[in-house]
Formats: sequence, structure tokens, C-alpha cells
Amino acid sequence: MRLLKVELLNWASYKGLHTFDFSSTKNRNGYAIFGNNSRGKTSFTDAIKWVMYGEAFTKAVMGTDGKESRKRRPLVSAQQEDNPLLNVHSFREGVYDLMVRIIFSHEGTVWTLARVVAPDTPIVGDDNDLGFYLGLSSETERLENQNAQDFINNLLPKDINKFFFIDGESVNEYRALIANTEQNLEIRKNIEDILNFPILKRGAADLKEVTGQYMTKLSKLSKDTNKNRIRREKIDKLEGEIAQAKSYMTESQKELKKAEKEHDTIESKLGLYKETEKLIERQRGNRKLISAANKSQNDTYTLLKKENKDLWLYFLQPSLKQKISLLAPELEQLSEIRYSISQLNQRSRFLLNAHQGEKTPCSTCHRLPEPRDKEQKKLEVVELDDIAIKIQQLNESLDDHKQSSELYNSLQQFNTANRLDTAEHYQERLGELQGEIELLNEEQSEIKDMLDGLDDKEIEVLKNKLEEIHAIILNKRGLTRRLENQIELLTKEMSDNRRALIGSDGSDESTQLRTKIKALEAMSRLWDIVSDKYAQETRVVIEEKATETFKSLTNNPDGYEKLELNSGFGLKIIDSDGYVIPAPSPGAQQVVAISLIDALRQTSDIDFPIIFDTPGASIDKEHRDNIIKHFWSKRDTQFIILASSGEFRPDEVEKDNKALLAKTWQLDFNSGVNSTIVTPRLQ
Amino acid sequence: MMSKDSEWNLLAVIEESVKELDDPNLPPELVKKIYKILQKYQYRTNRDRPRDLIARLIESHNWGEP
Repeated sequence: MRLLKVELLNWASYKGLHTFDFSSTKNRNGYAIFGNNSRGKTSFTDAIKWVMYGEAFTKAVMGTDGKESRKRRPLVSAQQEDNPLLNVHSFREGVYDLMVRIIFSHEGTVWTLARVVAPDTPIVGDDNDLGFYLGLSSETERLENQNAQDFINNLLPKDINKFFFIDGESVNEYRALIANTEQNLEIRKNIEDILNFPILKRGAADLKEVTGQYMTKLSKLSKDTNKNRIRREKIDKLEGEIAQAKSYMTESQKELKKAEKEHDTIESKLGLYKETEKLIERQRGNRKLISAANKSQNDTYTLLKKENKDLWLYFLQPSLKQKISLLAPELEQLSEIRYSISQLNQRSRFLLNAHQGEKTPCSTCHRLPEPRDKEQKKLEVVELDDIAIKIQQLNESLDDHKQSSELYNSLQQFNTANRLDTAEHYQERLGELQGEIELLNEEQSEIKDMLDGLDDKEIEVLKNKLEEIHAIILNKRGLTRRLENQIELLTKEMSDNRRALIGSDGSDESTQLRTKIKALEAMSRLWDIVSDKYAQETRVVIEEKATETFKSLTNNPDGYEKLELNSGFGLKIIDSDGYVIPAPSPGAQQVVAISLIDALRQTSDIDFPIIFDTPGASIDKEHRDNIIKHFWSKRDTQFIILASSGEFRPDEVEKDNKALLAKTWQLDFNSGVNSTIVTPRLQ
Repeated sequence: MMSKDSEWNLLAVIEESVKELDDPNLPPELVKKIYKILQKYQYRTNRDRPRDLIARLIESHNWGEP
């Protein structure tokens, strides 16, 4: 199948009619639609999914349970955040026509597929006021609604569309494919879905059903003996019981589905509450931080106060200097007194020394005393007494000036520059702490506003309701299981009775019927055997294809031997030395996932373009280039990438892949007309 | 099913298994016709049509004298 044209009318951000013409005579498969975020790239993919399956979903969002989920996009809404399919501005202007039309060629025929939504009422309030139409036509054929849907489901079954509409941003969903290295039911299920397993799975059920029909026919042929009459009565009774049990089971399944839906709704509302608990936790944390910051602020303030006191002294310094200068004569006198004391002490030591002996040199001047008579020595003793008196007097005078001296010394030791720096530092720290406290208080206030907006009673009611529904779900699940077991037992009993009835009959017609039943039973057995055999053979082929693609996409093909799918469908990356790589990087995982997707797609017999939204999400440029080159050059399928400018530079891509590209477009948003604008680039 | 790039296919696996089983209740040509019906309707959710076609095929097959 090749896309020839895509037309969008009032679709999402595409207000009015917009056309992408994919027809090309260049015989190339490369197509690229460039555009920044929110320019309509994903809406383009959604449009093709919607025209095919009648539904479109939002991007995957991580739920409170850690699982990713998507919401169905409504047809209409006046709020952009609801992601409606009809352009919000068209809706506000009362224009309700919505259409996606694709023209494609398939096995030599050109087909036009259109899904149209039109209003059933003059004013549209919600989706219920709108009607749908699906039409598929070629030159010779026209199919509508369910028939058109059947055709599309054969072209590309909905269950496996994710292998053709690849979303690079939802790579987590694909990584689930390679999550387990030993046993992987996800891979097995995808292999079964994408390949022809419905022939086997649905076929086995069909064959069993037809066998049952034949057994019923045969039982009716049986002779009306008394024993058989009792058996028939028993069979009729069992049929009634089975029908009743099936009806109960259908009812129970419906109720279970309803309860599960309600459970999801409440849980999603309570998700907000869980967020609230986080907020409360954060509020508590903030309180501690504020308290610590306040304490630190107080401590800093005390230190600053001390510094301020010193600073106060600093600012008083000029007046102190003035005072000191006034004391200058006193200080000079003080200095003179000290000098006199020193001189007298020296003379005193000399005289004392001389008295000790004339051969002992002076301890100060190291000279020997000159020889003296008795009279002279006497005079020296008198002089010594005088010196002692004078020193005492001078020391007393020194005490009188001591206060001025100390004041002078303390002022000299005062280091004004350092004090000023320290004070500024504390002032700065106080400012920082104040800022932190204000920020925390602001956040506290925001949290308080958020918490005030919540209704505790409503949360309590929702919690109780959730518990009730959970109990209902458990109950219904149990009931459904019991009914399934009951139906199985009743069916077995009925089957035994039928066999007994058939065995008692010996007519030609019944012999014919028995032959047919044996053939159908043998066919059922064959289908069971082939299912397992086919799964294993498919596995080997997929392993080869995935390895081939992986080596083509990786930057280091020689570093790997292969991708290995074991019999449990667990996937491993084997390096060139034959060892399993235990923890591949996220980038490697993505490349493996893409290789596996490509292998599954190649192995299926489905011919459909690959539409890859944001192929470069979470991988480096080299791998991005490998991916687009691989798909654009090696396949006979159209490969359309929807890339943001963060992933690929349009000019660069067009220049590097000139020989591979058929057409490219640029998407922009024009706020004047409230619409995405489609501009052809390379055509 | 014939895959695009490989000669390996489901019908071949079925035919090979029929040979291995060698069951007189499994006429190969009937198996092939049933396979074709199931292939055509493999993605149809409502199974009435393929079941009806299988029953018709069983009826029209020559089962020999009783």
C-alpha cells in the first residue's frame, strides 16, 4: 500500500482544508515532515490512525501506579488542553465539519478512504451531537461503514498498527518488548498478532465450534430409546444451564468492566490526592528548612551585633584620636618618665656592681670601675638611696598616666579594616538567609493554596467508594471464574452425553456425520500442533531479521554477533565474543526495539507505509542518521518521518539524502489564522 | 502465509505437519481449503461467516461410501 494523498479538514491544529500530496514519480521512499513542537506532527499521524480505526489517543502519561496510559481524544471541546479532534477555533466559531481523507494505491487499485463527522443538531455541545460516516471507494467498488472497516482491518489490523505507526517518544512501550531476557510473553504475543496467528488461534476456535454443531446434528439423529430420551432430556437441561451460566457470565463481565472503568476514574481523581500527600510532605520539609534558616539567621544576627558594636567603636575612632592627641603632652611626659626610670636603673645597677668588687665589670657597660677612696664610696651609697627614692616617685607618676596609656594601646590594636569586612560578610549572609526564608515561605503559601482547594470530605468519599468498587471487582472476577469453571464442567458433561447418544446410533447418515466429526477433531489437533511449531519457526526468522537490522543501525556492527530470541521469546544482545550484554544502554535498547519492530514488520505479509514520529527521541545523531538511511534506502516501503528541528536540520537532511528523498514539508503555526500551515519544501 | 522476504510460510508448516501426522481423517486438500478460508477471515471479529464456510466445505467434500 502506498499513500498518495492526505487531506485534513478542521483536524486538530489544521483549521480549514490542508493537503499533503505524497504522489511522486521519483521512485523513492523517503518522506519527511519537519516542524517544531506543537506544530501538528503528531496530529498528522493521529489523522491517519483515526481515518482507519475511528479513534485517536493522547500521548502516554505516567500514572500514579507507574504505568503509562493514554486517553482517548474527544471529537469536540472548546478547551485546547482536552486535545479534541475538531479544531478548537472552528468549534468556537460553530463550524463542526471534520474530515480526514486518504488516497492510496493497493494491489494496483487506487482507493479513497474518508471518515467524516458532521453535526446531528444545529448546535453541538459534545460528541453525542455528532454523526459519523466511513466510506471507501475505488473506480469499481464502494464500501461503507462496517464493510469499509473490514477492508481496512485486513489491510492493517488495528492490534498491530504500532509496528507501522512508530512513536519515538513512547519508546518505553517498545522497550517492554525487550524487557525480559529469559521469557517474554509480550514478544510472543506481538509475533502472534503480527504474523498469521489469527488463522491458527481463531481457526482452532472455529473448528471446535463447527465440530460442536455436527455433534448436535448427530445427537438428533439418535433413536428414541428410553435411555436416549433420558440423555436428550439431560442434554436439553444442560444446554439450558449452560446458556443461563453464559448469560450470567456476560452480565458479570459487563458489571466487571463497568466497575473497572469506575475504579480507573476514581483512581485517577485520587491521583491528585496522592500528589497532595507529596505536597504535605514537602510542606513539612519546608517548615524544617525555615526553622533551620531562622536559627541560622539569629546566630548570624548575634555575630553581626557584636561586629556592629566594634564598628561603633570604629566610627568613634576620630573622636578617640582627638582625645589621644589631647593626651599627647601627657604621653610625652610618660615617655620621659620611663626614660628617666631607665637611666636611674642603669646608674643604680652600676653603683651596686662597683660595690661588689672593683674587679667585677659593669653588667651594663662591661667596664671595670675606677679605683675610689672611702669618702667617694660613701657618697655613692647616699646616691643609691636617692636613686631608689626617685625611681619610686617616678613609678608613682607612671601609675597616674597608666589609664591614658592603656586607652592608647587598645586603639592602636583595633583593626578597623578586618572588622568592616566581617560585618559585611555577616550582613550578606543575613540577606541570603532572608531570601531563602522568603522563597520557602512563598512555596509554603502556594502549597497552602493548593491544599485549600481540595475537599477532604470528597477525598474520603472517593476512597470509600474505591474500596467498595475494589470489593465488587474482586467479587465479579471470582464469580466470572466460577461461572467459567461451571460452564466448562457442564459442557464436558453435555459432550459426554452427546457422545453416548451418538455411539448408540448406527444409521448411514450418522456414520457420515461421525466421519466428518473425526475429520474436524483431527483438524483441531493439527491446528494446536502447528501453533506451537509455527511460533518457534517464526522466532528463528525474526531473530535473523532483527539481527540484520540491528547491525545496520548500530555504529559498531563488528562489536555484536547477534540478537538472540530464545525458545521462551526472551531477547538478548550477544557481543562479538559470544557473551550476553547484561545491561544495554537506553540508546542500545531503543535500537534493539526498532530492529525488532522492523523484523516483525518485514516478516509479516502486511504492506503498509511506516510513519515514524520523532525518530530521534533519546538517541544520538549518528543513530538517527542510521535509522533514516536504513529505512529510506533498504525497503520497498514508504517511510515517513515526522521530525522536530531539535532532532534533524531540514536543510542538512535534504542535502545528505538527496538521492533517497521523494518529498518534504515544513509545518508552522500561524496565530493570525489559528492554524498549522503546511509548506512544501523538497517536491 | 507467505512472508515478503522468505520462502518460509505457515501453509508449508501445516502441510508438513499433515504429512508427519499421517492421519486418514486429515485429507490434505481439505486442510488447504480450510486454511484459505481462515486466512481470508483471520481479522474478522464476527466468526459466523468463516464457520459457515467451513461447514459448507465439510458438507461438499467427498467422504466416500459409509
